[in-house]
Amino acid sequence: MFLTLFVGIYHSSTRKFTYANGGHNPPYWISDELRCLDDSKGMAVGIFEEETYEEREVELHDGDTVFLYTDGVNEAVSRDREFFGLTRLEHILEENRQEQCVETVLEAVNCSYAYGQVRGSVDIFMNISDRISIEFCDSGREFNPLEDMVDVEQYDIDKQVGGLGRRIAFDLADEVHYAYLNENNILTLIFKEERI
Amino acid sequence: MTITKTMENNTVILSVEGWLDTKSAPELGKETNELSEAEGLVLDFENLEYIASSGLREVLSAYRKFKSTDGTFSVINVSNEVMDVFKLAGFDQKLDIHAK
Repeated sequence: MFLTLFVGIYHSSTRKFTYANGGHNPPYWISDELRCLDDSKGMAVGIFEEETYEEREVELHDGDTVFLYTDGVNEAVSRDREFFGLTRLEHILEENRQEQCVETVLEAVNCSYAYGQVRGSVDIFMNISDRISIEFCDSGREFNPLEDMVDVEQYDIDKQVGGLGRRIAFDLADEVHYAYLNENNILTLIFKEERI
Repeated sequence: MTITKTMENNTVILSVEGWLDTKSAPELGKETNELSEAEGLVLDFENLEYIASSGLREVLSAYRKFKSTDGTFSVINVSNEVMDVFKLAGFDQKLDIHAK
């Protein structure tokens, strides 16, 4: 029926980040201050033919972060039916400007999905050599994201809801591994050099 | 979520109350699919507290159904929170959506 899409291209030689938004949650740009990249407002993709999408551009600086997310973050619901919300997300991004922001957001959001009554942790390890390897490690309940994957060829966009994000992310990777070890979910995505 | 159905001339008004999420959205879909006689549809969201993307999908599906038969379609009494979701997906640019 429709999907939402944010597309951004980072040009490493000019440090320009060019982007367009098709109805997706606008990402945050964490620099000397926290800004929302909400100046490109396009329609969700797949609804009308011949939609046009306006391109925008910012110049990134050393240490800047562009934080992308889906409505799974702001619409995560706690047990007492309270939304995680954008205010809480912005607060975490303000407090954890740099490398820890993704882990902290995941920990906070996971409280409503994976941890039950206890607090848990999320660690993300990234290793860059001739390949990029990203390992997500969380102490939530056992969940294998490789199970129940949607089949893109068979996907009926008018009948099915959700499941494409995971599929797209895993298809972009060259290798995806999952293990449940010592009460931790460990998900590893590997991108080889020719993809980088 | 509760849906109340009323009829005005040949237009059906569906008042949706509560949460339109993944769990409840199919109910709205079922309700709008059954409207074969109506010439128009008004979704009254006065008491709608939350809409998830699965709810957007049903709104879009109803919009398409009525537009394909040259019927009328509108969404009225939309709260700020629900309007933010419509705006984010760009629905406010093409669909007839009115704030509270």
